[in-house]
Amino acid sequence: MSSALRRLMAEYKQLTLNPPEGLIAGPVDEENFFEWEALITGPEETCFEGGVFPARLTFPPDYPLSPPKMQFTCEMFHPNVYPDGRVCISILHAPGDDPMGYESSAERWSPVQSVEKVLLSVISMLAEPNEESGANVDAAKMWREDRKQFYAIADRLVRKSLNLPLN
Amino acid sequence: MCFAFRAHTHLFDRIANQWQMVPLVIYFPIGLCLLIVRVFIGLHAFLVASLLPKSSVVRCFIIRTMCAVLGFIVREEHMHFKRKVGVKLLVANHITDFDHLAVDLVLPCIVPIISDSPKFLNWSLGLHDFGTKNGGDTFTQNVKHYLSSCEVPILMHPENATTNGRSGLLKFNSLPFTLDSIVHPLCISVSRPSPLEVSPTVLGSRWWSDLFWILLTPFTVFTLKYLESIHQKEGESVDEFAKRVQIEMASAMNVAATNYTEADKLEYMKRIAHSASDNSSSQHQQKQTIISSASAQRNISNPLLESTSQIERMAIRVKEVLPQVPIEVVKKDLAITANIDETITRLLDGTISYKAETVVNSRPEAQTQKDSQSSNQSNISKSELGLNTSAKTFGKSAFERMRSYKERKEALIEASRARYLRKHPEILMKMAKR
Repeated sequence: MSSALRRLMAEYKQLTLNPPEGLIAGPVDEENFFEWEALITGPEETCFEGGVFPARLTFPPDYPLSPPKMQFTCEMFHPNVYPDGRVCISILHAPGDDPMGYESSAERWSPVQSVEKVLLSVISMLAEPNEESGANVDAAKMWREDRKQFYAIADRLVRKSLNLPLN
Repeated sequence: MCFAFRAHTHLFDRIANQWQMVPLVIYFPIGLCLLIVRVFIGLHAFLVASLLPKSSVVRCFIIRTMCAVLGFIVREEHMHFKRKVGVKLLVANHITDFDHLAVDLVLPCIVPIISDSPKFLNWSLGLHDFGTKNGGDTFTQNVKHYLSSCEVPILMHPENATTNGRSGLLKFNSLPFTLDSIVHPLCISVSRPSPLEVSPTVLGSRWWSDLFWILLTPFTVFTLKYLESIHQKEGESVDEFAKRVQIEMASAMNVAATNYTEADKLEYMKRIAHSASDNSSSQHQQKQTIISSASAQRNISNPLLESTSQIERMAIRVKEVLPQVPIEVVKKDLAITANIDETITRLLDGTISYKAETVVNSRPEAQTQKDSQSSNQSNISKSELGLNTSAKTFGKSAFERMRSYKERKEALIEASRARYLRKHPEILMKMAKR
């Protein structure tokens, strides 16, 4: 077993037995341990409250040396999520790799990070978008200028994720 | 797989293995006497430095002699490259908090204040406040203004953090390179006579402890190697310029030009502090480690860093794969297996039981907020909400695990939906009407 596989197994076990509230993550199919699916519950007291958002995590062969990639597989409208669902937060970038040029000393990927920490960071990203990163320019603009509209869209996404009628 | 962190370790690693302790212990009483005498001479040197005008030849000579008495010796290499008039920006690697003093002795210069050193010391130590606290722009403007009006050059350490200078250079901050299009690189290395090779500075040490060792040991040699001035090429970006200077300096020093930054060093220190707190049973220290990296810096216990034994190094590698396992457990098992892979396997398949520790130094705020908020809603218990997604057991076979995983996913969605409907009863009404 490679160390990447071992580490993923360890994290899977940890997340199965002792997950943070409202989070589930694990391999889509154990045939391929490098493809995970995660369910993330929108944090309370935020516009994403209550939604359960599925996302896909893809791990590189040299994990945990390199960070995983993360992409929402549901519709998502958020300043730090690209329209195609890819998540843009500093913990998913290795030091030195800084595509947006805004991550000065923020928390970066390193082998001490983990899937759990990535998912918790995504939760806090949902709660507090980082206005400096414009992964989704429209969402960032709306978040700044028309918060009400943003909340309305977010609530639609929450209902959609729960498979509830939209109006 | 852990090249990155091994490189890290070497970048900041320590002195003395156990054998080097012996001469040190024998020397210690002599050193202590020397230290006391030197403190008084040091006060005089300080006075002279404050009184005589900067960059006068007499001052240079007197201070250099006095510093030599204090055990602070500066040697120069490649004199033919020594700064010519006109080059006003010196860049040097960063070994100790006293680098700029060493440079100042042979090449009078001033250093912009970055750290929070005591104000009254700034002037005589050649530190100059360029308004760093007011943000980068003010700083850049002030420095540029200074450079155009004054002859005394400015010294900057683009690494922003100290290393031992033996394995690699941290990634250069580009700020110093925006100030002028020509820089004069200096390579600093610090050595002490064998057999008292106490390293001049260690991870997390404060300036006064470094000073203590300078005054205690017979002498400390700061070697300055001058390199040829480097011009920014036309069309070269500041980052490229910084990188080029870094590579140039690294090759002159025979070390690697790494991509690690000051932030990585801090992160590394946090990690060390974290495993250091495992060593002490006192919960107090653990708490402090978690609170902030700043306090973590002060908490680092030096003995842990000093030991570079095999097991220690292997334990760090195991921790990279399994950060939740207490380092003590890892070390104990490594003592038995002496094999990283075997220990990892034994920990994973449960041969060795351990109490998982919190891996996270600081959980994202959202989590704590969430906790406090959900505890406010006293009428609905957490289990009723079904947000707890944990399984009772981790299945032995892939099939079992997949089944439990699917069940838990469905349960979470179901529970969230019920919760949402409870909060928004109007939807339920609408659904019922249809």
